[in-house]
Amino acid sequence: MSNLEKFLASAKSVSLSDTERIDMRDEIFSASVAKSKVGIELSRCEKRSFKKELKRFMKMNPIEMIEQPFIGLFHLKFAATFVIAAIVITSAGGGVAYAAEDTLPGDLLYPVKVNVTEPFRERMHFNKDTRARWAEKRLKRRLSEAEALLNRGEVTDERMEWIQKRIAMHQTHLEKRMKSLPAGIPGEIRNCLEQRMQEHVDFLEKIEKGEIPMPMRDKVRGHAKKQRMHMQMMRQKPQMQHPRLKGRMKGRGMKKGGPFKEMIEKAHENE
Amino acid sequence: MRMPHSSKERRFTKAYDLYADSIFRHCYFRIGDRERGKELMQDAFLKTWEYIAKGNEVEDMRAFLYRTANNLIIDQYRRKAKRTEESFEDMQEKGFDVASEEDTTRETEAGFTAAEVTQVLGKIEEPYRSAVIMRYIDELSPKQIASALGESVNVVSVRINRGMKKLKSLIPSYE
Repeated sequence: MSNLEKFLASAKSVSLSDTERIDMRDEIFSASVAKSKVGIELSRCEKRSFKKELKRFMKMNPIEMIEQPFIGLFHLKFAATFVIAAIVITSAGGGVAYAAEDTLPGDLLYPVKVNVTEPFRERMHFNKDTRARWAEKRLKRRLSEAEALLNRGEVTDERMEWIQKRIAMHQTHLEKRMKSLPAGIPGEIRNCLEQRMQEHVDFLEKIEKGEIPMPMRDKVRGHAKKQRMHMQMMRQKPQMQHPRLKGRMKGRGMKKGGPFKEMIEKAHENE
Repeated sequence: MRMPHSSKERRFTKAYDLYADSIFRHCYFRIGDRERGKELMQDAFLKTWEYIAKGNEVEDMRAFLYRTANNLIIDQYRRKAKRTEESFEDMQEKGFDVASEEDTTRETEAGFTAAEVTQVLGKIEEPYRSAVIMRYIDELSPKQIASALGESVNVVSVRINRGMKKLKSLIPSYE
């Protein structure tokens, strides 16, 4: 190979890192939607369900509470955030939020689904129990998306990697939500989630073994293993981050998100 | 015939997967700044989407993206000429150490670091630099380059030849 050929080959191999490519993609597509004339609005069903939740929240938190200055301020801040989010999502017109619901990683509206509508829907659950169940549902959505991508033959290493990271993130978030739930409910949620995760692992393993013929077979290699690891973490979680240990962890150089998140990140790095 | 909205979206997202790297590379080598290259790439995709969202049709998406990126780069050159920002050439003249930037020092598979590549390309004057980048790094045909730059194929071919002559004269110094 001549020096000139080497030079051109070097130039051609300069590229974005996987993280840069995904992050910029999210930014481009979120910005595209924000700039386009098509706005964001809730489906009729969502509006009904939010209204119901809002009424329930109002009943649970009557006006008298505002008389206490600190609680009043908290609710005022919460209400402001709620109103702003609701205005942003409902006033722009169009049907992006609704259209984004069926999107998959790689689709134009997917960033709207994961960064706008899903967090907003979570805020619409005012009850701790329903909020935790929504966090569980959100995690299950990522599993379904991975399966849909495989079925559609649109899997790329980046997309699978992105979904795995999101699963780890949602799992940490779910554990946080479950902390404040009465005994029994977290176990119920974990069982339900574990069952779905097992189904997902079985599906991935079947593809890996070639029992389900799929052209994208090589793309799932290793993902079943990661998924099993997520399940194992979930089982170990109650012992790993007992509420009593929470205070002791402070100031010991623990990363935000607790040891659970750290362990998942380390395991991903070791992969 | 007009394409339905969803198929336009699919085509655009596919274009991102296919061309994000090459548009980034093009902007990076033209400007000589990795971060600015990323921003210009993003802007090129955003502007292209705005154009599509207004109902316009784009026949050759790749050529269109390059044309948009090229216009953005020219705008950047003009702004630099007017204001305080330094041009790529100025920075090199003053001894700007491209190689010290973290992401650019990693050696590529073929042996040259990204910083070395940008330094060598920076020594080729415009419009020959863009012609060489588009032809031999982005691998566009002279016709596509002509369409992206709004020039004739003949003019583009002359620029490519002159640019390559200059590049060949610069490469032996790296032996």
